[in-house]
Amino acid sequence: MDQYIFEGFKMYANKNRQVFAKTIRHSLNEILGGAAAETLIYYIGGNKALEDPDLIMRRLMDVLGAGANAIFKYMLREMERSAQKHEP
Amino acid sequence: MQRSSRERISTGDRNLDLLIQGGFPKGSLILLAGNPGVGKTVFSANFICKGVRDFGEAGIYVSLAEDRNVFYHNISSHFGINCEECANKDMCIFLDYATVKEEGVSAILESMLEEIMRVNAKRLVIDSFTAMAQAFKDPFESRIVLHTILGKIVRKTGCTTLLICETPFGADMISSGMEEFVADGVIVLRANKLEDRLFRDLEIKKLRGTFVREREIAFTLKGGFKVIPPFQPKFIEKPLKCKSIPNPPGKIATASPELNCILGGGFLAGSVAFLEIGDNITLDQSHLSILLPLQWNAIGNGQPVLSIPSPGFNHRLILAHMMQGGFSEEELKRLVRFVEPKYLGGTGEEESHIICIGGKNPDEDLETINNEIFRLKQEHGKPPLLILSANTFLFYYGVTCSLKMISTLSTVMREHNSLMLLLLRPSFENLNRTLGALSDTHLKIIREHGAVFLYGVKPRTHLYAIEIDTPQGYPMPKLTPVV
Repeated sequence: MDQYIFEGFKMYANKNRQVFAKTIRHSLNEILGGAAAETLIYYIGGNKALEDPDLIMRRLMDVLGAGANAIFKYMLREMERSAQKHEP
Repeated sequence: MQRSSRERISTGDRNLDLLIQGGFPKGSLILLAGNPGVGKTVFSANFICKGVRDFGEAGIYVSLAEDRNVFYHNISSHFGINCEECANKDMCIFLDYATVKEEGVSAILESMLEEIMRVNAKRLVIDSFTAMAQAFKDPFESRIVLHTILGKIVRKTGCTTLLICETPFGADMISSGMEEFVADGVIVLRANKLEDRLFRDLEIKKLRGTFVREREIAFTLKGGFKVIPPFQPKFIEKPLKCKSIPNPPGKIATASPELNCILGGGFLAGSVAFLEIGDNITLDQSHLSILLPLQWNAIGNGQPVLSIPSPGFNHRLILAHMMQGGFSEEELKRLVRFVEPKYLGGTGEEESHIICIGGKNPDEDLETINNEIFRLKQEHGKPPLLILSANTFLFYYGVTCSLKMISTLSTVMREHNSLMLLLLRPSFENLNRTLGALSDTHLKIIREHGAVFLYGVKPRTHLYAIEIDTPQGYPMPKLTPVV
């Protein structure tokens, strides 16, 4: 697991857990499509799991293997973009 | 069977398991494709039902087409399994979804995963992925579902998945094109015609990590899904005596009740039956399938047999086969006579059960055979059964003379109210038609994908798969219709 991504996830989750979860869900939808994303979220533990950066990274790595890193990078970019949009 | 290092899960058919190292690799994703009506649902239902019944493994059937009640009814009638009872015990779960829109697919996949984990399912069927994929706007999404959900998550649970793909009639591709690449195995079911009769076979196009003994395998849907394995002759060291069946009025029965059933009780008394033997059929295959059950029954009923073996075979080979019916050599020599050219007599000693012919003068040889028919009738009080290889006559006397001799002998046998069984191995073109026209019954034995089949030309019948069984202590053909 990329430490830089993990630290980024932790930082954004600590700022606002709900926005963090929403961004994760949105990213999975964008990359995998609705059906696969929703099933994957269900499998890794549902909405609650989406708020925990450690849990979500471990579970996605477990399911998707090394391919998950590309998804993490996309998610982090989305989080940065969302943060910039909401900055005063 | 070659052993595999990977854990296997039974396909639900023992014969298919034997051909693929014990079954599908555990946790694999298998694509099952085929046109409508080829048996995809029956194969899949068999996979689930045998898992429950024989291995105590829970299975889930996700249906996007069939109604639960119809499915349960079909399973009960085919496999004798009470699905309601299995469902109550959480062993066989049927998830019934009509064709859904995109939003519905995630609900299906979620409940499928929920059920897999809840009942610890080891077998999953999606009937069909074609219907599921139609719900996606973007075809790429179905690839992701296939790869991520079915290929990764379901595999992690140790559940083996059968993914049904519907192939329209006339289509060149078996699926949308990407499923074959993601799946660990691809099996195509087909329904074609063989000798103008329905013939079903499957082709294993791909099966990762598995040594496949036969890529193309015949099957039938009689009583569920059943693979017809390559023919295996079975011989017994100390066979029991074959139980004879009394001849019904006007019929000459064989020792095989199944064969009699196809023949409407037996061969017609006072008739000629023609057995056409196809390419690559061995002596074991033709003898064990029809000739031995017919001759054993005659001998058991005290009827003598006069045999004119095919070129390349002699009385010793045939007697050795006949002894598989549990009869002693003395018993056989008392009731069976062999007509052979002089030099095949073997030991040079006079043997009463061998009638020598010269093979040069047709009239003389025909008279010898005719005399023996009369002699056997006088000696045993019953006319003999005549087993005549047309190839032997063709070999010695040529086509025209042979046909004259066969025609004369058929008249003699009809007059005696007995049976002449005429054998023809592949020889001259169209000779089968001529001999077929001379006969009252015309049967043919053929081989396809290593399996042996019998069918009736006259009367017309289905294809019947022949396997040799020995439950009664002697080899007997087991005939299964290809339906």
